[in-house]
Formats: sequence, C-alpha cells, structure tokens
Amino acid sequence: MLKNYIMVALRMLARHKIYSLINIFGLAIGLALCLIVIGHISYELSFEDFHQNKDRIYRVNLKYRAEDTELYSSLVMSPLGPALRESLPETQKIAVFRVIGNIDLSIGEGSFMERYEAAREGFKYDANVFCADPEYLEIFTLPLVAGDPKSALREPFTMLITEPAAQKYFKGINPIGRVVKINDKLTCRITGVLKEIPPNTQLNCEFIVSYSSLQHIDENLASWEKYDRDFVYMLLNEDVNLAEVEAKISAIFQRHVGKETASKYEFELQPLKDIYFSYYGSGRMGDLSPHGEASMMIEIGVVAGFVLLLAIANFINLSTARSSDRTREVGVRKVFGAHKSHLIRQFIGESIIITFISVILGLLAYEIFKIIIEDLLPRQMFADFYHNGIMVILVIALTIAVGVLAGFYPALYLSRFRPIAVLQGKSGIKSSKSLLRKGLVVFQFTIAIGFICSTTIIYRQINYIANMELGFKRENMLVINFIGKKAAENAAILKNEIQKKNKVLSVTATNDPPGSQGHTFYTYYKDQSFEDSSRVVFKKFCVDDNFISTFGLDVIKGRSFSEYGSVDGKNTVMVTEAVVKDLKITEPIGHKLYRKDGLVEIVGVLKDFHGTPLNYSYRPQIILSPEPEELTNLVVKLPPQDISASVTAIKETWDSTFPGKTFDYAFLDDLIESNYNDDRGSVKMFSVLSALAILIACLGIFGLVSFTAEKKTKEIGIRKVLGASVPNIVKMLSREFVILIAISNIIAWPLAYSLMQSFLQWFPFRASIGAGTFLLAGIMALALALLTSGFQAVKAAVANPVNSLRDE
Amino acid sequence: MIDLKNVSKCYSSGKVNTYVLRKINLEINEGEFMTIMGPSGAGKSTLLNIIGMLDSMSEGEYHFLGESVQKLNERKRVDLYKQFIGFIFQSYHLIDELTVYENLETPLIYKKIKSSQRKSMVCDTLDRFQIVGKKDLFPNQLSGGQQQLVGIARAIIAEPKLLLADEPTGNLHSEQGKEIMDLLKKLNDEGTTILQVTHSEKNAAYGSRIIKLLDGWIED
Repeated sequence: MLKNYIMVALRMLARHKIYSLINIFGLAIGLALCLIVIGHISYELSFEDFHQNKDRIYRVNLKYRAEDTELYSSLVMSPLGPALRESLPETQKIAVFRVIGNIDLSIGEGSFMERYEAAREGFKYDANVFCADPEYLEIFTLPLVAGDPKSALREPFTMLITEPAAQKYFKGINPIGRVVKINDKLTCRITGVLKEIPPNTQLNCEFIVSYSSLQHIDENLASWEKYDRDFVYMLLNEDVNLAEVEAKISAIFQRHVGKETASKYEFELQPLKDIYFSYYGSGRMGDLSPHGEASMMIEIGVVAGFVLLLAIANFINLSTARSSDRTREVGVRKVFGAHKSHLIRQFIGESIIITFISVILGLLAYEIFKIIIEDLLPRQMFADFYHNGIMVILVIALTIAVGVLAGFYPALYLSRFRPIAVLQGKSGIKSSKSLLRKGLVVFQFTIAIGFICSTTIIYRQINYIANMELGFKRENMLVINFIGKKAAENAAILKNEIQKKNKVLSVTATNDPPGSQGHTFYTYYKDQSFEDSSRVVFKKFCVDDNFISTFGLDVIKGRSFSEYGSVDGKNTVMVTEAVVKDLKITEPIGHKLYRKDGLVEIVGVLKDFHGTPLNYSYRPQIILSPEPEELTNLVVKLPPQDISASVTAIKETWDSTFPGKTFDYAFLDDLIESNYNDDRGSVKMFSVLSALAILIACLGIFGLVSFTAEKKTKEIGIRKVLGASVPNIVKMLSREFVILIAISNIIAWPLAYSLMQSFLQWFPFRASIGAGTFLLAGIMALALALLTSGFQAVKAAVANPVNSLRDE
Repeated sequence: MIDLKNVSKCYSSGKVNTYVLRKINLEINEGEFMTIMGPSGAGKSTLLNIIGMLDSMSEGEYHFLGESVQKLNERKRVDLYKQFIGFIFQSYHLIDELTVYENLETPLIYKKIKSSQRKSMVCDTLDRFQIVGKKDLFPNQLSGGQQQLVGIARAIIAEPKLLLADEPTGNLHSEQGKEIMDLLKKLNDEGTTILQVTHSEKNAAYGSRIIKLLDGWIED
C-alpha cells in the first residue's frame, strides 16, 4: 500500500511540474529558514552538554543586599571554595577558578598580545587564560592528550595548554616543559595538553594555570571581603536538597565573617545547564561569555515560522485548486474499496513526501548558509545536523508537523468526493473552497506587506539615528586603545611621540572615545548627606586638555580646562547643559558636587552632545574630568588629505616607541557605526525575510493564475471569439488578486504600524512613520503580484482560441 | 442475490421533487446475465449505482445476499461491495498515475490481501487476459479496447460475485466492443452474475434477461 501511495505521489509530482516546483520550492525556503532557527536553537541548547556530570554540577552565585545597593554576582570570595570543600559533605568535588584578564603572553622569543574583553555582549572568545585548581579537571569533562591528569594543576607555576593553542603558539613543537610568561608576573611551565575543548561551552580557554600559582601574586586570596574573585562550581551528590545545601553554604560563610556581615549575603546554587540562558536581564555580574539569548531566538523563530506558514498556505491553495486533477482517482479508489480514512492517509502521506523532499533541499540550503555565515560570525552558532541529536529529532518532528498541517485540509477536502458523482464527471462537492483560498491569499500578502513595511521602518530608523548630528566632530579620528596596567602610561608616551613626530591636527587622550560603547557612569551627590534622594548619575569622560578642542565642543559658560595640564586636578569638572538642568541650578560655575571620596567643582558648561550611542538610551548628562590615570585611549585627529599616509606615519611612530607590539587602531566613525551593527544586521535579516515572503506569496499567485487560466481555456476561447481583447482577458484573470491584495494592505498597515510603534519605543530618537512607507509597500506587493499573475494571464489571453475550442 | 422492493430515487431541488426511479421491484439471481435498457435519462445508471451501493435510494428496500443494504453505515457498505461487487465503466476510469499492474493491484490492496498473494493474483489475471506484456504501461499508452480490458481485469481480479457494467462498450468501436462482450459472456459462463446497462440491442442479446426503463419506471 505504501509503495502504491509513494509511486502515485512521485508520478503526480513529475506530471505537474510547475505545481510541484512551486510547492517544493516554497516549502524548501520556509523550511530552510526554520532549519536555520532550529540549527541555532539546537546549538544553543547543546551548551555544556559534553560534560558527563552536567546534571549534577552547580555554580555558587552570590547576592548582596545593603541599604542602597543590591548586587548579584556569579563570582564569590576566594576563600569560600576551599572552606566549602572542607565542611560540606554533600559535595563530591569543588572547582575554584578564575579568568585572568588583560593578557600579555610571552612565549620564548615572541610576544603575543591577547585581549580579554570582560563578558561583553556575548560574542567574543578572548577569555583565554583560566586559573583553576585540580578538581576542575575532575568535575568537567576535559581530558588530557598529553601529561598526567592526576598531577595536573597541583604544582604552582604549572599550566595546561589546549591542543589548538599548542598548535597556534608552538606550531608543532612539543609544548610540554616550555615556559610561558603571563602579564610579566607569572611564569609557568606547561605540564600537559588538553584535548580540544568543544566550542559549545563557556569554559573555553587556551591555557589553564594552576590555581596555587596565585598565592604568590594575589594578596586577596584569603580575603573574605572581596566578593568578585572566583567562580565556584560544585559537583553534588545525586538527590541532594539544593535549599539545604544553600543554607549550609550560608552557615559556613557566617562562621568566617560573623553574623552581621553574613546577613547581607545570600548564596544560590545554579544548575550548570541553566547558566548559559540566564544572563540577559538577570543583572548578574561576572558571567563568562558567550550567553544564549532566549528572547531573540523566539523572535526569529516566530518570523521564520510565518514564512513557513506562507509556503504551507500555497500548498493548501494549490492542492485544493487542483483537486479536479485528483477527483477521478478518488472516485475510482472509493469504488474499489477505499475508505475515507485510506484516502486521508494517502493524501497526508503525499504531503509528507513533498515536505520530506523540501526538507532535504532545506538541509542543503542550511549547509550552504552555514558555510557562508560561519566566517561572518564571531563564534559558532549553528549545530552540525549530523552530530546534533536534538536537531535531528526537531527536524523529523518538523517534517511530520508541516506535512500534516499542509496535507490535512486538502486530504479532508479530496476524500469527501462522492464517487458516483465524480465518475459521472461532476465535481461531487459543493464549492466553498474559494473563500478559503481567498482567505489564504489575503493572509499571505498581509504577512508579506507587513514584513516590507516593518523592514522599511526599521531601516529608516537606523539610518536616522546613525546620521544624526552628534554635537561633536567624528571625521578622520584615529582611535588607539591601550590595555593592561600600563595603559595610561603607554598612551601618554605615544601621545607625546605623535605630537613630536607626526603632522596631525591634534591628539587627545580619554577613557572612552565619545559615541562609542563605553559604560563609565559615575555617581555624585548634590550634598554631603549622601542620601539616595540627592544622588545623580552622569556619564563620565576622563579627558585631557585637548579633548574639547579636538572634538569641537562648545563651551557656553565658564572656562575650558587650563591649557597646561596639571593646573586642573581631579576636582575640577565641566558638565553639559543637561546636567545643569538636572541639578536645577541657575549658577553652575563654582557649583559643587560630592562623592564619598571628595568633592568636585564645576568650572565650565558645555553645549549638550551625544556622547553615548543613540540606540536604546539617551544620556546627555555628561561630566568631563581630567584624570590622567584613566586616559587609556588616544584619539588622533588626522588632516583630511591622504589619510592612509598619516596612518602609516603614526604606525612608524608606534613601531619606534613600542617595538615588537602590534599596532591596533580604529576610526571613530567606524566605532560609532558599529553601535548599529546589530540593528543593521536585523535590517538585513528582515530584508531577506521580506523578499522571501513576497516571493512565496507571488509563487502562490503564479500557481493559482496558471491553474485558473488552464481551467478557463475554453471560456477564454469563447470570449475571444465573441470579441474580447487581450487586456479584457488579462483583467478578468487578474482582477481578483488586485482586490485581495487591496484587502491585505488594509489589514497589514495598522498591524505593521502598531508593531513598529512598539519597536520604536526603544529608541530615544525616532524617525517618523510616514504614510509613504505603507503606500510603497502596498504598491510594491501589488506590482509584483500583477507581474506574476499578468505573465500567466497574458499567455492565456494571447493563445489562439481556435486551439482551445477545437479539441471538444 | 439481489432483491429490490419499491425502490425509488428522487432529487429535490427547492420544492420540486424529481423522480429518477419509481417503485422498482427487481430480483436478480446468481448466475444471471441481465441487461438494463432504455433511453437517456430513464434512470438506468442510477439503478445500477444503487445496486452497486455507490448511490443511496430515497425509498424502498434493498437486500443484497440477504443483507439489508439501507440499514448499513457507509463503512459496512463499502466493505460489503468491495467484497462482492466489481465495476466496469464506459470511460474505463483507470488511475492515470498507475501502471496496468498497479491498477489491477489497487482493489486487492484495499481488501488487505498480502503482498505475495497480490502478486500472484495480478500475474494470474494478466496472464488470463493476455496483457502480461502491457503490465508496465500507463493507461494513456493503451488503446480504448485495451484500457477496457484492463478495466474488466481490475473488476474481476478480486473474484466478485456480481459484475456491474455501465455501457462497457460505449466508447469502443464495434470490433473491440465485440471482444469485450465475448469476454463478459465467458465470465458469466464461468459463474459471475452480470448486470449491464446498454443502448445496444446487439449487446443486450448476450444477456439472459432484459428489463427496460422509461422515465424511472420498469416497462413490462
């Protein structure tokens, strides 16, 4: 029976090529999008899956609560881990580890600058050096390919290296026994090589240094006061009561710090598998990156699902429209003993076969997509279908679900035919189908038009904020970032050298270049009470004397910082108008603000400028303060002529100042623009999705019109004989779609409008939503639909009526 | 075998009832070769379809092999006719997407006959109708006569007790028509009860009994 059905299905596909292509192609597009989403979700869900103990591993998180501060952290005090190890019987193992930041590695002769960016926005993998105790290797599944796992990480000044890092830094030379110097402080000997760590973990690193090495360089190792020191992961016995363990941790903590301090802290055990998805919105500090973002996954999943629905709508439409092709088969099968259930099974089976073919094509598209996208992404984000069990199951489930969803209505519809009527040449069914078909076409175009409107609005919004006047000069600014302990010192050295050697317009040093994503916010108090009510928070730029002139800021009151450096100290500040407004003061000059460590006096007022990115927050309240030790960025204003020569000249200065170090720079324009990368990415994604949605919807119309034209061949012939012109016929065949698309517009516009209204709410500066956007989307959809339907209609209309009337 | 009592069939459109069949009383015994004749619109096909259980009657009683057909639900009715009745149509009604072999196999599939047994039954039938060479062809690759041959082969493959033929030679030219009628005669001789609808006196002559319909009534 199955073979019989499959044969029929495949032969039907082969016979009706256009319909098959539309169905398969459309479904393949929709499915490919869903597969991409599924591939991403599967990959994200697979994080930390490779640890054999994954279900019994927990991290200790800390919550701190005092009068005016609340704090949530995944890092805890250094001595907590060892204390728990001694006195907590429920735990089998405890790993204490940390990430070493600001890495400057020296191996043998060469020097490698590796930048560690603290868990910022998820994507970067620069947390290269971990520092862990021996139990780390026992809790997590991290096998060694060389060296002794029993003695690994036990001795101070020993370290492990991963296979890829060994390849990267030692290029085929056996790394065991070699010495690596970290930040000029720690010199470690490599005692083992770790098997390559899978990418789907937050514990990815290149080196693991033995934790005991820290005793000699970290004076806070025994301090119970510093809470943001180390990660503590525990391997618990099965069926322990987490609340009890948490209570015991608090009790142990209390024994060390006393009751009063302990009352401010709470400890929480977080299952390993939950960590990856629980970062965004939790307010937790110190997490390792990357993180999963569940809400974004749901959003793209919904959008991809809609495109798939469009393809399913095509399938339903074309199957029911074409039902007359199948009526006789249904009749014959019924006469020869088929029950309705047989036929329903047959037709659903057929749609599953079509879905299956589409899934194969979709998987092919997925693989191609992966190859293209992999280089563009900072990390792996998509599962390998053949190695990811979750994905295989999801794909099989999707195939069946889509097959049934697409096939169910047509199956029900077709199997209803009464054999006797069918065999006598009547359709055997009362026609209610065209309403459904119209409804589905309206549904498709509503989605497509909605997509186009939304994309246009997002695009306009991003352009609007990206091109806004920021209030400071941003062109031809070269930014050089320094990191590490000597950052400010080195920046000052280079600033000096550039001023001496290079022909530049000006050089200024700052903590953050304005417009980039710095997060330096400072709290001040209006008076010395230090109460919450008098607290104000400003974005702070630490600057030198050149800052204001380099960026062309307007001083509207008071004075600028003095020309000769050291005259103004930390306690003189300049503020923007917005700050003055915030403070509600009439005479800002000489006004004082307080911090617990001292007071500052306002010496000048600046015109407001947009010092922070304009995507989601607007903070014109800015304070400028001269603090030489914070100036880790140099901004060099280049003469507009021959930028590349200027850059080369500066590189020469760099090379002579810091021989052997890599010269790394960026342009301020690019840095500012990069704030909108995510948004531009969304625009691109939505453009592609809109294009696909409209493509699928038009394919559906193409199929429907060619079907109508085919069925009406005779009518068209008769009409032409009676004197109808080609435009008359085209109009007759296309009219219906014009009406349907008009209805779609009317539904889509308010939907897109309210959706985009809520999207734009996130932005402090909003482009207006004009009627033009909607009209344009509507006209575009209409034009494309007319083009596709017109093509088929014209073909039918110009045919010679003699041919269509003869064969009767 | 077949016992119709006061069977009527009417279609109602609005307030008007149009009778296609009126108070038909008919008995058909096993082994008969019966012909229904009459002009177009007399209700011949409707009667055939009611006997074949493809159509329902408006009034009256129908007993098939002692079973009261009007009391059966659809599923039981399908099971009954697929067990005992074979159909032959004027326009053959083969499934275009299936080969000759697969067309013959279809009724056996719905009777849940095992694959190996199906194979031997189809092969036997192909052999008996001398169409082994055509088993992999599709209907549109055959002539009308050949298609009807396949149609008959499909109708009798499950060895029905009753064969219903609605103008089986209507689309064939006389030579082919004669061959088909000879075949039906032979099947009747081998024991199959046959009920045919035809316009042709010549074809009617093959049968053992003729009833004539006019405006839904049986003419005496």
